[in-house]
Amino acid sequence: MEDKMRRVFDEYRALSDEILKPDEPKKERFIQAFKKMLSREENWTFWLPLLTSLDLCVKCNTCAEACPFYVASGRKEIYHPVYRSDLLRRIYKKHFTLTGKIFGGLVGAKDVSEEDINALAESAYRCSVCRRCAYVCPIGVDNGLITRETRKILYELGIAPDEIYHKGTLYQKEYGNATKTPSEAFLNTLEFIKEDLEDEKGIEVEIPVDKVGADYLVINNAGDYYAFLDTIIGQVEVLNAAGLDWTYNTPIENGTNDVVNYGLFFSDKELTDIGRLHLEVVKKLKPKTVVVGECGHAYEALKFLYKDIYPEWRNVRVISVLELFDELIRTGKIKVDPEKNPMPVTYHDPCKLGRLGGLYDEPRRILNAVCKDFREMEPNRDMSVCCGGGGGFAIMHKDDFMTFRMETYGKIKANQIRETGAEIVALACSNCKGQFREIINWHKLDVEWKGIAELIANALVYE
Amino acid sequence: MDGWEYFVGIVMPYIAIGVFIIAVIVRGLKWATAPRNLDWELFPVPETRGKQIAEMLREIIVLYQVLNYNRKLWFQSLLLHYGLYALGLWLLLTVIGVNAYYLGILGALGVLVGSVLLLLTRLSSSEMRLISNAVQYFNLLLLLATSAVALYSDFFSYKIRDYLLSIIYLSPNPWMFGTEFFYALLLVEVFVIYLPLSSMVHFFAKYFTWDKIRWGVH
Repeated sequence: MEDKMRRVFDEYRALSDEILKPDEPKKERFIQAFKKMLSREENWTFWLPLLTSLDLCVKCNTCAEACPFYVASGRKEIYHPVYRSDLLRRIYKKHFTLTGKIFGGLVGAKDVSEEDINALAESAYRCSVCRRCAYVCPIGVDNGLITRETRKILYELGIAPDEIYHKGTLYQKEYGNATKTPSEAFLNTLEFIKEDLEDEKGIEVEIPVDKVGADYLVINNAGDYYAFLDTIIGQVEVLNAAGLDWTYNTPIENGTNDVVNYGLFFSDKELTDIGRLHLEVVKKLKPKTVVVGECGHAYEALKFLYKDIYPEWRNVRVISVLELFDELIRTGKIKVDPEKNPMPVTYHDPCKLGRLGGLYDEPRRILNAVCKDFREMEPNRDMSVCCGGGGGFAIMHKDDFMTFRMETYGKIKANQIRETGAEIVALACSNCKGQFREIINWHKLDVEWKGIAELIANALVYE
Repeated sequence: MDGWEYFVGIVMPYIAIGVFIIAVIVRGLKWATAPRNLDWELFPVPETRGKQIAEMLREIIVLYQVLNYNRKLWFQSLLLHYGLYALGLWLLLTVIGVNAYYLGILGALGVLVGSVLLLLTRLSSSEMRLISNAVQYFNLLLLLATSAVALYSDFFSYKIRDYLLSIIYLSPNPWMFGTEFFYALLLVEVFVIYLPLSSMVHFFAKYFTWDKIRWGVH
């Protein structure tokens, strides 16, 4: 049995002892790394949001009610979003502001101990950066961003969860995907999909790979080919039914066939490195449009972030597979019959696709078209509550971290699902799928989850 | 006239105005010249400039975010902000020659009652106490004290116009006022200096947090 790790903040641990090294001094390095984050040249990517978020909070408490983790924890003080931000803010004031140096604690400035740094590091992984707090803030302070910037500082010290760093971005850079899947195995999976569709549905499909100049280059989360294969099968069926000119890709040389970019969760350097792999693929395959599979954070990275990191990316048209599916249905390129999905279906708005991506109407148009009984989960759209899989959490499970995921965010979502009376939860994001898979088991919900592509494929009408 | 009255009535107005202008310019320039951050919008983003302006006006007029997401704080905040808006208008009207005495009184009352209620709210909420530093209480106490002393000293009487104009014409003449006025004036000056240096700078910082970040307008 695994030994319990030393508690440094609360009863959970997101960072292993090997990575956090809780007994090793790191305060000075932390402050140096923080200084770098406060440099407009070194941290141009988020300098303005960081500075305004550190400087402008009026402590009005509006964010408290919006934070699912804080509310679900029973309002534990240490989980208050401002308490978490203040762990960093007090260092900022103490070391980097004149008022903090003069007035100290009166203005919230306070020096930190080594133990405080350990606590801060763990605390940065109790927030999924869903930015619901930022959405409601009357001033525009972004506690989620402060969490992410804290993670960036920790990354400078080599501290990041191994699931998203060592086994995430580093694998993706070395193997072309975070699942370490060689091209041959990937192609075998595609062969399996072809055979499955032929055997199960009697449908013959083509799965183009590495086609140059296709209308649509579809890139999925590589983990979907293992964990959520039904979504991929549905996607292949829909794309074929529509008769599109499309392609998947192998990692190609210096590229990736994995749409994830876990750098988004903890490091601009990793974000940039993975972005370069995506850019390489686009340069070689020259698609007219890049389609991001059912993956929320990847949509944010490819759609919104890369264009200001890589000028070449500004010429790349990026859409979510939801936008493509929505267009196929609306233009009649595929025919669907909602009677084929007669069970009540609800939808969870992934934070990265909804609040951070603006895709609210597309999934609803799709689900209303392909399901007989679509029901809204409350709250939804811009006020949707994070499932707890965001920010990298969906693949983090060491120590008691799963309890944290399930008994806080997960508990809220379980109740929301029950209230809908739905039998199916439609999900459009891999991290959400990973989280809901666990929520359904943990909270013994009598529902199943399905990817959007699965529901569309199930509703397809062939003429 | 005592030396401190001379300082408060003759010298400090220019210090206060100078610090206010410089601080607003320095902080404004710091944010305005920030490197373009990666897109970090929150949706829905108003699609047109007109809709963005409408949303910002909604914020200014009804404090929509507080109304919608923190109703318990809304009435107090609205009173305080409307008080400040009224005082701004009072100042403008007075300078251009309109006697807005009662508007000034109403504005100060709004600030006074609003800040008292906000102080009580903060003190009575364990969550707000948890996240508050001394500076949050100081901000409210400064607003409370300034408005209370201004009301007590009859700060808003129309004769202040002559004094305001004398400041503008660089020949300040505060000799028509009694001692109470100088207490009020001192607090007003401290507030004017403090405003752009504190988190209350959100009166214009919000342009950056919403326009440039939340809406991604570049």
